[in-house]
Amino acid sequence: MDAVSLILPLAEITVAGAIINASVHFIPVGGAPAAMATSTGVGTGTTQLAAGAGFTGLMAAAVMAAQKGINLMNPAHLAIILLSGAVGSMIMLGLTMLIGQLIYVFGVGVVPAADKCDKDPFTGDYQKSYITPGTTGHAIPTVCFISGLIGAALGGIGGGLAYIAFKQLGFDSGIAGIVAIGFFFMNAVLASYNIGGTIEGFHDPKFKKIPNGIIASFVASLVAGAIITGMSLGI
Amino acid sequence: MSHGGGGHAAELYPENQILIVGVVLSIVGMYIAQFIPQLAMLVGGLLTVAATVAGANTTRRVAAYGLGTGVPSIGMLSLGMGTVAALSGVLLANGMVTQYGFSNVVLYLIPIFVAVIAIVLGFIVGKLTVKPIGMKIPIMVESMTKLALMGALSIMGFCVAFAGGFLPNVVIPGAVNNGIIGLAFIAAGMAILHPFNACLGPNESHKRTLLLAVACGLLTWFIFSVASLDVVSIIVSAVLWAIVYRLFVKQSLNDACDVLYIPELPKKEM
Amino acid sequence: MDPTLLALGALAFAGASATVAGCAEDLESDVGSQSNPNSQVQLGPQMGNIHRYFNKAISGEPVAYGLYVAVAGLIAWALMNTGLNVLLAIVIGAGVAAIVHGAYAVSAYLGRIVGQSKNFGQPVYMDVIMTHIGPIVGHGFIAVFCMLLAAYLAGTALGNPFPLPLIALIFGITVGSIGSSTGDVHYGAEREYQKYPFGGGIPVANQGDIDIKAETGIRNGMDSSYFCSRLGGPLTGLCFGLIVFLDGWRGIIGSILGGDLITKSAIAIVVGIIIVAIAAYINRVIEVYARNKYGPYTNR
Repeated sequence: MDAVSLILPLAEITVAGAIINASVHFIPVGGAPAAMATSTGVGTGTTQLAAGAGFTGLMAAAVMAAQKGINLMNPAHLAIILLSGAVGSMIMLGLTMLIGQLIYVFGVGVVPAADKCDKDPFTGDYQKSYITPGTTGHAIPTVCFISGLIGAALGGIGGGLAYIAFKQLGFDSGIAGIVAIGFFFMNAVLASYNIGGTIEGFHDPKFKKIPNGIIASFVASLVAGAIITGMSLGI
Repeated sequence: MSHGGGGHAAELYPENQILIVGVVLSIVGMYIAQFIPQLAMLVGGLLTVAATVAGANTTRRVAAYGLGTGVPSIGMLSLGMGTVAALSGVLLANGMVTQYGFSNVVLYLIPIFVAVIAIVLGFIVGKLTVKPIGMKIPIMVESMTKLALMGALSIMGFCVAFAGGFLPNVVIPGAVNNGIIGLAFIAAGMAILHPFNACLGPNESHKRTLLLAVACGLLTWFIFSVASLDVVSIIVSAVLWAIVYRLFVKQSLNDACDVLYIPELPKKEM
Repeated sequence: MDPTLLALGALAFAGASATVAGCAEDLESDVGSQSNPNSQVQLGPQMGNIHRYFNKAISGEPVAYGLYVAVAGLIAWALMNTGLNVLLAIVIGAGVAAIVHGAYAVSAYLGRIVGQSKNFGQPVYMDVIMTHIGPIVGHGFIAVFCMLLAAYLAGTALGNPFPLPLIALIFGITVGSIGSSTGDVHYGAEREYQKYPFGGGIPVANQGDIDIKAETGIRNGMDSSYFCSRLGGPLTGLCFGLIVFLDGWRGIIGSILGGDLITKSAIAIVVGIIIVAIAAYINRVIEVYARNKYGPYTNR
C-alpha cells in the first residue's frame, strides 16, 4: 500500500473519533434521574443511548456499503454511505425520544420542560413555570429533541466514517464492524466522562466543555487509528 | 446507574498480586492453546478466567471511588481498548513478518504484543481522562492501564481458546471474521464489570466480589465451551461454575442480616 | 419470486418480531427492576423502605441484552454450522442465553441486597428469588428469541454484511437502549411512586421513598410488570418495531422508485428525513397538548 491510502483512513479515523465524541454532547440524556422524571432528557445513560443510536447508524452505513457497485473511494458514494448512517441514527433516536415523550405525557403526566433555558429557542415557549418543584425539568421539549437529532446525525456519520476507514484499510466486514464498535464505545465513554452523567443538549452550560472532550477523543483516536492503520499491513 | 461509592472494604489479597496471577495465567493459557490445540478450550479457556477475575478486581478498586456514570462505563471503555489492542497485536505481528521480513519467531510473541499495546493504549487514554477531561480519581491512570490490559487479555484468551491458537492464520478466520470476538467483547466485559456492579454497597466484601468474579469468569468460559461444542469443556466448566456459584450464594446468605422465606416485612423498631 | 417482495416480507417479519421483543424486554426489566429505575430500589432501604422488589443490577439493559443476544447468536450460529435446523438452533441459543440471564440475575439480587443488608436491615427474600426468576428468564427468553430471529433475517434476507453473532450483539445493545429509555420511565416515574399524585416529576427530596405496598399486600416486581404492561411495555415494543421496519422500509422504497445506485440511495435518505421530520412534528404536537392540558405551576 502507498502512503496516501494509509494516511487518508488515519485522518478519517481521527476525525470520526472527534465527531463521535461531539455527538454524545448533543444527545439529551438525563441518566438515572430522568427515569424518575427528575431531570430533562431521555431516561438512560449517556453512553448506552449514544451507542444504541450510533450502532443503528453503523448498521445502516454497513448495509449501504455492502451494496453492489459501491466504490469506497468515490466521494459521492462515501457521502451516501455517511448520510445513510446519519439518517439511520436519526430515525432510531427520533422515534425513541417520541415514544419516551408519549410515556412522559400520558403515563407520568408531566409537561415537557427544559431547566437550562428560560425560553425554548425554537418555539419561544417559557419553560420554568412548567417544571415540577424540586426537579430539574422533565421529558423532551422541542429544543432537546432537535439537539438530539443533531447528535444522532453526528453519531451516525462518525460511526459510518470509522467503518468506511476500516473498510478502506482492507479489513473484512466482520473485523471492521467489531473494531468500529470498540472504537465507538471508547469515544462515547470519554464523552460521557466529560459530561459527567447528564446533559440537556446544546443549550446546557455543560455543553461548553465540549472542546475538552473533542481534544481527548482526537488524541485517543489518533493513537488508536495509528495502531489500526499499522494493523492493516498485516492482513 | 450512578450510585458508585461503597467505601473501601478490606482487601483479601492485594490488587497487584491478583493482577500478576491473571496476566501470567492467561498468557500461559494462550501458549497452551497454541501448542496443544486439543486442549485449547479446556485449559486455555480455564486460564483466561484468571484474566477476567483480575479485571473484575481492578474494577472494584477504581469504581469504589464513584465514576459519575456507573460501573458499566469503565468496563465498556476498557473492553473497547482491549478489542483494538487484541486485534492489532495479531495483525501487527503478521505485518512485521509479511511486509518487513522479520522471522516467523515474531508470530510466537503475539500474546506479549497484545499485552504491550494494551498497556500503551490504556496509559494514554487514562492520561486523557485526567487531562483534559478532568476525572478526579487518583488511581485513574493506573487503573485504566490495568483494565485495558485485562480486557485485551481476556478477549484474546477466549478467542484463542475458541480458534485453537493465536497465529494470524488460525485466529483471524477462526474467531474474528465470524464475529466470535463480538461475543468475547461483551461476555468478557460483563465478567469484568458485573461482580463489583452487583456487589457494591456499604456492606460489600472482597470475598463475595471475588467469588462472584470467579463464577462470572467460569460462566463466560461455559458459554464459549457450548459454542465450540466441546463436550468435556462444557461439563467441566458447568461443574466448576456450579461449585463456585453455590459458594457465592452460601456466602451471601451467610452475610445477610436476615433470610426470609415468607412475604413479611421486618417490624421497624421506632 | 420478486426479490423486492421477498425483502419486504422479511422486513415485515423482522419488524413484527422486534415489536414482540421490545415489549417482552421492557416487561422483563420491570419484573426484575433493572437499569435506571433500579437506583430507587437501591436507595429504598437507606430511606427506611424495606422492600420486596427484585434488585437486578446487571449493568445497564443495553450491555446486558447485548450479552444475552450475542450468546444466543453465537450458539445458534455454531449449531447452524453443524447443519441443525435454523429455528431449532435459535431456540437452543436463546435457551442457553436464558440460563446465563438467570445466573446473572440471581447474583445481582444477592449481591446488591447483601451489600446493604446489615447497615439498613434489608433481609434477603428467598421467595422473591424463587417466584421472580421464572418470569424474568421467561420474558428474557421471548425477547432474545425474537431479537435473534430479526438478526437472522437481517443477515440472510436484508443484506447486512456482518456475521450473525455481531448483528445479534448490535441488535441486543439497541433493544436494551430503547427499552431503558422508553418503557422504564413508566415504571420508574409512575409505578415506583404511585403514592404521590399523578402528574409531576419526582422531586430529589422524595427519591428512594418508593411504594412498598401493592394494590393488595406487599408489592413485588410482578405487580409492576402487570401495571406497566398497559402502557410502557407495548409502547417500547412499538418503538423498536417501528425503528426496525421504517429503517428498512425506506431502503426498499428507494430501490422501487430509484433507478441507479445514487438515486435509489438518495430517495431512501430523503424518505428517512421525512420520517424524522414527522416524528419531530408529532413530538411538538404532544408538547403543546401537554402544556395546554396540564398547564403551568401557578402557586410559587
